Amino acid sequence: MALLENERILGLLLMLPGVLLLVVFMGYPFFLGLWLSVTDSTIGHAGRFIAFGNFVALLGDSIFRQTARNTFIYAMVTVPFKLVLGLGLALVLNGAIPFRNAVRAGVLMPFIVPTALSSLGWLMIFDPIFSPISWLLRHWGVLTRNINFLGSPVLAIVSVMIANIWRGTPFFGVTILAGLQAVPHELHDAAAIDGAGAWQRFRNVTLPIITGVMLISTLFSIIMTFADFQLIYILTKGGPANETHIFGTYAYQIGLSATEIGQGAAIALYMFPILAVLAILLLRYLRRDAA
Amino acid sequence: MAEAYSQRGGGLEPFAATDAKVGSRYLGIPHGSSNDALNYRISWLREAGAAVLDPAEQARTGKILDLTWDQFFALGKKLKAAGHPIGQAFGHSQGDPPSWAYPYMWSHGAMEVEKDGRTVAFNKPLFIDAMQKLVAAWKESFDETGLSWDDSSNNKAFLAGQLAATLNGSSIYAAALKDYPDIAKDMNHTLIPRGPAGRFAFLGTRTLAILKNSKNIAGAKEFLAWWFEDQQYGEWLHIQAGYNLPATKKWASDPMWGKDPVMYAFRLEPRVGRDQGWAGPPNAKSGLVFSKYIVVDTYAKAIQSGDAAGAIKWGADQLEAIYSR
Repeated sequence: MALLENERILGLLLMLPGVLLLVVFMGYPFFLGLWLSVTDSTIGHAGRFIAFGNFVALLGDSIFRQTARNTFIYAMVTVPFKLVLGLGLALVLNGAIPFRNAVRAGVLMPFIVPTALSSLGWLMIFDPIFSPISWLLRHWGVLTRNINFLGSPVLAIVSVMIANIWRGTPFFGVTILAGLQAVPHELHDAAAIDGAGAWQRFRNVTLPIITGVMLISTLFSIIMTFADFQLIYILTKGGPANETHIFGTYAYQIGLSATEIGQGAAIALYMFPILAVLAILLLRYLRRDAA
Repeated sequence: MAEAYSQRGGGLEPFAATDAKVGSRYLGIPHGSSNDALNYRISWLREAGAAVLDPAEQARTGKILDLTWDQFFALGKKLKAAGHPIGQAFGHSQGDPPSWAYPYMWSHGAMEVEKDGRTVAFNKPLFIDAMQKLVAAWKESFDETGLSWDDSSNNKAFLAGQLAATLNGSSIYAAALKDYPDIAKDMNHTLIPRGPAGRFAFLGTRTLAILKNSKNIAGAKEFLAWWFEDQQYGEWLHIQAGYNLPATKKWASDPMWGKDPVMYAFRLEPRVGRDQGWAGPPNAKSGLVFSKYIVVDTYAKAIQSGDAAGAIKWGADQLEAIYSR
């Protein structure tokens, strides 16, 4: 018991379960992935060390280059939309609206519902033959044939982006809402007395205070969007003609479906330096801001 | 055991002959594949001018609806104009899209690789011409949303009365018998159309094998020997009534094929079946081509861009990269 009186030892003991979880479920798979990516392993065969062979080979793979392009477009288009819509949502939810708590819980639904399940809902909405949107528009005489949501090159990526924005907006909404609630009323009152209008109060009082939260949310969202898998896999499996493949789905296709686990790991790890740089840049900015 | 089963069955069907072997050594026993053929609505094809026999007449005479690709596309044009097009999936799923894409390629003289398993033989003038025809037919004869279809889309569309013809297993017919009797009465199956280089079906056998680390290898061997006896294996085939195509030749004359004339076409399918990689062997490379949807995506690219030659060149480059490793 005397040992537990020692704060240093107690601290270490309390940290141990968390560290174990991180090592077993994050550290081990990560380092195994690192190792696999520098081997020519296939499922069932350990393979041999080939240094950066997989990474170099991928640069010559036109599907991989298309996948990388798709991933950037997918993340760079959806994240700003999610940020702006989430900010708007947070501002609305922060105001005095009827049934505020119920509405707040309701808007979280897209984020709470398992993605696999909500993606099936989107699959029905985007169905090439039985889509309710196509049906309605045909019924009203606006269209003569069904919309090819997931079958035409541009529309396919736009459709999966819409589903992604729908799913990701509440995350921004709720985190920014938490930031908004930390804005002291006194500051608003003081600014109002000084003659600031609603926009000026938002621009000069609210925004500086919630910038940190917005940046952190954006960072997380970029990471989650880059690493997306379920939504695309259920909606298109990367098709048609690889128009919607992103790193996660292509890594799965090559690593597990085609059993080239070494190259699959390399595809997934291409994300790592990009995300690491983003994370470092944003965290530096935050630290500078805090200082 | 596999040799004995093959000999007892009059030899393996072509689609099953290569799957269970690595080199000349069997690593398992092939037991067949689920089927696929052209599902069509009898009345609509007749209205479009096709010489379609009643299923019973067809089974009695052995004359199935024999179409070339050109005839099929021409029929499709009339069918689409009448409001019920042909339906075909070219999305990323591993059933219906390759079941069309590989036979269409083979029937126009192209293939992943020659028999040597190395020489890519994809970028062939005849295949480019055929792809151009398909690109034109896609607008005139097909439901154009097929680029995003998965393996279930055509089943749903056919059973909803929206398609006159689609390539599928007999699962549509099974569902129609159960829930859509009017469609079941008005449908039949025929083999996929033929091209200048012949008629082919995309089939790969399923194989039963024993793992090296099995705790009871002797018991597993005994079970497989028993299961592959005609009585057990035959009963298994009979229960499926043609849904599973047998891996050995002697079952082509089994009385089960006479029971339901709508299933007759499947009796003929094993003979024209070929596996991925053909004319080369099915192996890890053909598996990679299949998993990356190279052949299927060649079609999707051609249909999307209208550039048949460019799409086939893309496919050939991808195949070269894989087969030259």
